[in-house]
Amino acid sequence: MAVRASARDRVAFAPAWLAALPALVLVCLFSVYPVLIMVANSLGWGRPPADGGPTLEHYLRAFGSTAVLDALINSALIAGGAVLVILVVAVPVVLHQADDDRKGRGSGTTDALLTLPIALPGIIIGFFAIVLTGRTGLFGLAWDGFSGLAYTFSGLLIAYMYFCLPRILGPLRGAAATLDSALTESARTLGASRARVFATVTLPLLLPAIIETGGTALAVALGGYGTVATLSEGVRLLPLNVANELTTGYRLAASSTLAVVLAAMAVLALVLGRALSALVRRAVAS
Amino acid sequence: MTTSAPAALLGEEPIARADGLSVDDLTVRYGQTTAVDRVSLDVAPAETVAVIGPSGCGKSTTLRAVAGLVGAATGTITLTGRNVTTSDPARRDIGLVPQNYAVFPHMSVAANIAYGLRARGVDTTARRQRVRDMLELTHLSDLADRRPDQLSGGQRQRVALARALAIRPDALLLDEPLAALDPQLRGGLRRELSSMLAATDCATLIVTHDQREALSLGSRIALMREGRLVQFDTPRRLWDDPADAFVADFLSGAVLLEAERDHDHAVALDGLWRVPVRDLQVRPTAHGATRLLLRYDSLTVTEPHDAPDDGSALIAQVDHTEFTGESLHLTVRAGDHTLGVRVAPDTRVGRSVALTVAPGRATLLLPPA
Repeated sequence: MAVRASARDRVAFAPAWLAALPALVLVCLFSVYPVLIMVANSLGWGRPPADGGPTLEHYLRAFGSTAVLDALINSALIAGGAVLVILVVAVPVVLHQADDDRKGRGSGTTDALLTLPIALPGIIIGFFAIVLTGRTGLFGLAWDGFSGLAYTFSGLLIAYMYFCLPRILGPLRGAAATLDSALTESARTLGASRARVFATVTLPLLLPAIIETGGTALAVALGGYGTVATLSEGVRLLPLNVANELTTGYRLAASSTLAVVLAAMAVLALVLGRALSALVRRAVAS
Repeated sequence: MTTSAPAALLGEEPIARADGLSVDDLTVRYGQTTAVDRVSLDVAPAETVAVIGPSGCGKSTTLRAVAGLVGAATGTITLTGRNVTTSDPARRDIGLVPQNYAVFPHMSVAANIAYGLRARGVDTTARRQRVRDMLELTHLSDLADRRPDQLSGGQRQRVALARALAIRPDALLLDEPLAALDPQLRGGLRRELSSMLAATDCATLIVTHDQREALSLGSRIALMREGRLVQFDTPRRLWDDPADAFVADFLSGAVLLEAERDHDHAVALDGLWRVPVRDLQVRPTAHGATRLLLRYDSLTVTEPHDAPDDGSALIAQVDHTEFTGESLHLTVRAGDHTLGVRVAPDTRVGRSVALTVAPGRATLLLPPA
């Protein structure tokens, strides 16, 4: 009886994965397949005669090269640094905005201005940096120190901060809006100073969102190509090397290797952000 | 408090009671809107005052102004002799229990209760003792290590109450303390809350929109409407001698009609209704006008053609009938007047009715001669 019932169930309700099938096909075609090819290429399983069989040679060569290592470290420092700085800047901004929204004073103009850069491609942001802090840039007229800053490490850092700003403000703003103002108000009436309320109530409750947003922004910033391509004179970042290996000499295997490393870093940032956030959320809240 | 003497020397303090909470002439504005308009009330130590009114009447804003969470445009808030009108909320010594209880979700029950004590730098031994006392008072000792998400609504309310009382506040403010709880539980929790409040000696202000809560928890009730204080008195006096028709309707669903005394009759509704005074309870009123107070059990309904034609029955058209369980709510029209009256639920109602006063069940409020 039970067996027949379950058989009937199977007929009546199509399995859930059937509904997801079209999406799965698309994901396989445009995501899984290219990644597999990329990984295969980097491991020497590409099409002969270019590749002669499985080897770790490409990875050894990549990690043996100072140019690649420099680009790797620069990528991590600039993306990481930009994300950290913007997180520190964004937290007070979103808290203030949430406060304004609660009092019905929220301004659409401020929102639009702060999140506008999300619509701008990285190349445009690189172009902004040149216009302002390039060798003949606007800021350079005021003080010589600004001239040519765009092509230096600090210049890139600033350009990447601008790139990260909307990607961090947006999600954090949503998180800040869900914070219950009664919590901070209660803490205040209990005798806590503003700083204490921030440290003991606001920050712990916002921390999971901060970590998750940071991880996602870091993943996006690591892969950002446009900005550094525009400013590619001095400091080199990893995405640039990937493109270079392809465009100069079509070194598919070397390029694939770097691409795999870059993708791994980005995915790691994303996954770490999610995982840490989940851990902190469990430790901190409900 | 020791600060009252020097403050009095400055000569700027309003003449306030030395203890408890007093609000004098408080006005709060949000931009162009006046949310609270010249409200004055006072709460003695160990007294509970319930502020009641329909939503948007300014009751919650009054509470927030006392807590220091919104600024006062004019007026003074005095707490145990200290003028706290412009004080930081952290320095008012007020215990606040917000409507949703705002229990810190990332702290245990004990850490929640200890929060204010830590913020005030109370040393560990004293803090632990105080937390233990508060857990005991609110019957939470077994739940001390629980996280708030493992608690029921009633337990969360007790955590918020214990947290607020732990700092030994001079005044305790509760915003809609029972509104977030299941209606079936409210009766029991209201009695529980009432007994816990009785164990404290601070001035307590409760904001509610629930008449039953106000009547049972408040030793005095402040009834507000559109930012103004309409009546501030004991529950009994509000019930027996409402200041106006709004108070009568809001508090007990009663009808208050303006009336005149004409020898042996009370005349209401422009002479349409002449009720013999012998059928009425006559009570003095403090509100200056003769009025007729009708409750849901005050009226009997008869067929219009059976009614006496001496004017003691009000012939009215029935516009709407609503069954509310304990009574039947009729919207009736007589002349230019429309009024809502409650009658016994088993009454048979046609398209028009004759309303007569059940002897001894309605009240004539007479100003003292």
